[in-house]
Amino acid sequence: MIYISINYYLLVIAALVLYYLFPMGKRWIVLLVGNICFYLLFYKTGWPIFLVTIVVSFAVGIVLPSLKDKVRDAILAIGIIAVLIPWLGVKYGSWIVPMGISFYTLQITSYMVDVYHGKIEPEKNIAKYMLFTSFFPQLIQGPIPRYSQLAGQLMEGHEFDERKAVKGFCYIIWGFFLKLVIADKAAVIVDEVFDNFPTYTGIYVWLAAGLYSIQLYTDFLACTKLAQGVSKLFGIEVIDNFASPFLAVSIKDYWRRWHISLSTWLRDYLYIPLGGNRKGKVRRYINLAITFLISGIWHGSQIKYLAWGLIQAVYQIVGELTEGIRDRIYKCLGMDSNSKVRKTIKRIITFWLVTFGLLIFRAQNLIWGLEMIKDMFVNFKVIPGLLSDEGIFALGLEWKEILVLILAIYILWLVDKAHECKMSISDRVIDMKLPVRWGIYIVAIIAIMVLGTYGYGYSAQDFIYGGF
Amino acid sequence: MRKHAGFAIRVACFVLLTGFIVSIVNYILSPKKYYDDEWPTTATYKGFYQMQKDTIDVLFLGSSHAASSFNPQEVYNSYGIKSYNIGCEGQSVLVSYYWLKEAIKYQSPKFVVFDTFMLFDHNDDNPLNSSEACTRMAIDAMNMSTVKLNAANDICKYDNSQSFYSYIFKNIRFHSRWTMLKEQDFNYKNLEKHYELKGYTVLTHRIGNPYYEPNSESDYVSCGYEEMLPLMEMYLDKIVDLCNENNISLILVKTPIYKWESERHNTLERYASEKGIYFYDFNDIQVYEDSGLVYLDDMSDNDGHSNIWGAQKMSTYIAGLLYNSFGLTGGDGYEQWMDTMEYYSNIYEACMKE
Repeated sequence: MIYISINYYLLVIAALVLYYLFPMGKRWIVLLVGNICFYLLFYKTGWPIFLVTIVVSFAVGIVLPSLKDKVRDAILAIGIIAVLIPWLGVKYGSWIVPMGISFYTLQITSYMVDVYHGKIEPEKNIAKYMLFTSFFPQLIQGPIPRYSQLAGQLMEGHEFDERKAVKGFCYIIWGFFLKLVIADKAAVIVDEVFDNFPTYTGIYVWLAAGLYSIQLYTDFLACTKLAQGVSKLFGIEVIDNFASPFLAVSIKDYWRRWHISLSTWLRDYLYIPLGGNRKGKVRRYINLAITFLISGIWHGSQIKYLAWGLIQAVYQIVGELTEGIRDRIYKCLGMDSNSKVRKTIKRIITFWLVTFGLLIFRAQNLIWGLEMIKDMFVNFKVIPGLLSDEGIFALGLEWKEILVLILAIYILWLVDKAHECKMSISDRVIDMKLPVRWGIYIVAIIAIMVLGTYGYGYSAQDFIYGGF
Repeated sequence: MRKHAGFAIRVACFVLLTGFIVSIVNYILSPKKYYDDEWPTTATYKGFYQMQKDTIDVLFLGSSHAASSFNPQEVYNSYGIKSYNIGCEGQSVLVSYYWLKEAIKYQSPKFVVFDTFMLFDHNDDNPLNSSEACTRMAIDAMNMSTVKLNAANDICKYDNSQSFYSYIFKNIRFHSRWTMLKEQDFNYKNLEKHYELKGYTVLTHRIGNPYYEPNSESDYVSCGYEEMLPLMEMYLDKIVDLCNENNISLILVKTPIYKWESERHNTLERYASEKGIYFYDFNDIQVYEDSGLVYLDDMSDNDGHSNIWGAQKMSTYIAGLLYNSFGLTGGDGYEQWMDTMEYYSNIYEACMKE
């Protein structure tokens, strides 16, 4: 909830004012102080672990270029192990969780590996290095930045850029919309059904599973947009984490669009070093399986996460092996590769394949998840009175709220389609005449304020990925 | 910097415009209780702000017991004393304190008559001894000021379930009311014009318990003391201090209530004596008889709410006390009390016919 709290935005405003008042060369100091204040204000525990990790990785970065051969390898290995130990302690032990540990662990690891490979020069100033590792708008939930992409932007200081700032503001509004009007509203139904299975069966599980995919997407997209939006106010560009994932036409395509910063991290620092697709098909599939299993482990220590990772690998391998057959089937049905119907069918199939995986991800445990999937097929039937106060309107949202949710998901779909066509909605709005764009901003703010799911009477939902 | 001045001005205008629209939307979303509600808390406070400055000599304060027992129109009609009742449903002593603090920014009362019911355990589920809804209704009707912010801060300090910002941005608390908005939520401008009863709540039932008996000296002697709730006592102390600082005479009262323990009477008597203030207990046989109360006829229920006839007697009694014993003089021709005479008279007649 931190990134949608009033206190957070008070901190952002204070940091912004100071940032642009400071001389250009010293503006990074304001960001660093902002990071420290962020930690002190919102998360007082776990900072010694974070600090030790920063110091160790900084030291590794400094010494690596001067070392050679096996010593160099050993120091890198020690550095990675030292960074991983707290993460393992948190995931598999009972260590106090430092804020954003899963994200900064990967961020720091990639920094050390990049220094090792000579792709980047190590940072010589520990304060600047600390700023890179703890940049507050993205600390808790990413996206996972690379040193070469972010560090320069953080250190150099930026002139105030009106267009960028307004765009940042648009991103923040969009982030709030995604979180409060879609994710947290969908969560009401999702929680009710998942927490009370098998009281709810069949079509209710289909509904909750589909909504969970949308919830997870919008929740995570919201925190990415909020991170990007706040960063833009400082003139800093944070990488994108999603590219309309539910418009994907295959699982492979989906993984190019979903949690991009994690996917590319796994590709660059795990899949490719394992051999990638350079060592034949069988090795490629094994590498794929290892990569997705590690991705599962990254998400959590429960078996269900491992199963979820494995399912993703199986999807991809089976998908590749059956590509030819599926092409022939589509051709037999008269649908060529440009057919809109074929694309739609592929999107629907991909969505539900992803959803089955995410159902296990969300379920209490693996067995429960498998039971729910089985139930979706065994007990699937249309229930009389489904659209009544005894049906889905009894799941925690009355019909007006469900109507809002449907409209909001439709807006999301339109925006995703626009992005697919390389159209930027925020740029379009910014280029409109002042009364029109102000009207749009105000209507959006009031709509989120009134129609969102938050505050008294609702159990405030933390950002889902903040828990990983 | 200069090249961004235009942008800064646009941002300021946008913030003001958005803030204005948000405040209107939030006001529409907030629940409100006007004259057509049994407990018209919103009308009480919105009306208070419309009283001419420094015209009120007596403020009545306290929970629904006070709101239903002290009728400013009767006080004015009998002795020409100008009063207003800022008591309300479920008024925690914390709320009493902050509303008194707010009230003396606009008025210079000489007397505050405070009903003591909420000093003792009433709602033990709630740290403020009252429901969140009642506390909110009273504080939400307060104009934005440091008093309101301090009140919100104190409320949230003691009641962790409440959020400070929700007193500024009411949408945090009430946005989900959009599904149940009614015409009156949009018609607030007109409804706020009706504060003719000046905070008094009219009740008309006559269902007092026939077994009620006022307490006497022998009851007090035979029992001990019931402690006030510490937080409520702390705010009573603050009320006492606030009155002293502003040269206001504080009078503690307890309106009639079935089974009012003598232990509570003793505690209040002791407190009043320690602080050098007056305490009038309508459950005490002396005051009960002097005021002419008949529990069976003058109470609207047995939870301490008097009906319009009981309120008439208690209001006249207090007015007489202020006039005769405390030397508070009244007078004629005070527009805001004169103008409502006929309105009240019609209500009274309608109640007589019921």
